[in-house]
Amino acid sequence: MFRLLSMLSTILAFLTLIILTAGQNCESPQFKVTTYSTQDARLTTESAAQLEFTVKCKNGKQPSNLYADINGQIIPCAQSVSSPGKYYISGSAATPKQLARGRISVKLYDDDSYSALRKARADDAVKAVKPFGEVELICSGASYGPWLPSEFFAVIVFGAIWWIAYRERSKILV
Amino acid sequence: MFLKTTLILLAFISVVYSQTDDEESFLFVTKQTVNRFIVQGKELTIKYGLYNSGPTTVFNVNLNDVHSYPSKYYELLVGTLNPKWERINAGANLTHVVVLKPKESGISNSSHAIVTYQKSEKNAEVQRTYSSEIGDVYIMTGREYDRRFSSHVIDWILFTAMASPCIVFPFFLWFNSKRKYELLASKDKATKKAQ
Repeated sequence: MFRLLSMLSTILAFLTLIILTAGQNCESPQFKVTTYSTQDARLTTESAAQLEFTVKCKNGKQPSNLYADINGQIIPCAQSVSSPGKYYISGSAATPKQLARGRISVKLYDDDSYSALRKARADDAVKAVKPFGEVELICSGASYGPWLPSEFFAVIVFGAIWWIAYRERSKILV
Repeated sequence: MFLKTTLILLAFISVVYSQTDDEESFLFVTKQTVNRFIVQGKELTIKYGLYNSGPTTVFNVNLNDVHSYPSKYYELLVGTLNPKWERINAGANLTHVVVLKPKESGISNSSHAIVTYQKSEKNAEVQRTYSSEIGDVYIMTGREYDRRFSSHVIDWILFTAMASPCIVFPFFLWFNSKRKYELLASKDKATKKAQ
């Protein structure tokens, strides 16, 4: 009798544990992303980029912690205190070439996939870990201003006018 | 004699135990701007760097810099002035970027950001630290920046429009006289040939 009871209680405990953990995971997340990258390179010394995204899960749960894989480095995402569900990934590059025009793909990992990633040692195992999601950082490229300054064109135009006048003048004077 | 040695030994042990800096982690926060110039109406990018020195993870990190940039003087374009991280591992180096737009020009002072964190997950004792500060900055007006850096195309067009009477009027005179004398010269040639 006692044994049966204890067995039942352990089974029950096990079941509740499974149910609890199953409920906490975020299923099929949907991301809404806004990206920003520095536009004026003359105003700043470094280029900065930021990804802001909101996660919507099917079962309404929010992942407690998200990690982002940027260029091989895994960093935790910042969360907003005032609006939960918003996550931020930011970085800065010393040379604007690192944030050149284009798209950079960022993989996201939640707690489970992150611990699986940390346990993986070989490259194949690392690649086999399924990420939580993937978002894209769209860099518009920083501009250094116009290619040729307007003074260049002004010099060309007025120089041409002067040259024509000089040519005609020398014809008359000679 | 025995008492002396025990006292010295006790003092030694207490000194060793009080130096727990190597065991605990400390979070260093830097706050800097990557702008060369701060211009009114243009983007101001602030970069916060968090570095966890020490061997343990810190939890529940909360950075608050809302008081440095009141919404009356600064408009928040990108990022949040109040981010939080659940955990920062030992030796980790994080950056957080915020982009603001100053609404007014002049000298402005931005103070430290306040960062609170917990050294252990169970112990709810909150450690407070302050970031470095940028200090007094001069926000220049949009006109000052444009004077140095804008492309000046409109200025050159206006200059050409104003300079054109000085060029076009003498050119017109010269052209008329040239045409008149060329006509005369060709008539002369024609009559000479005929003769």
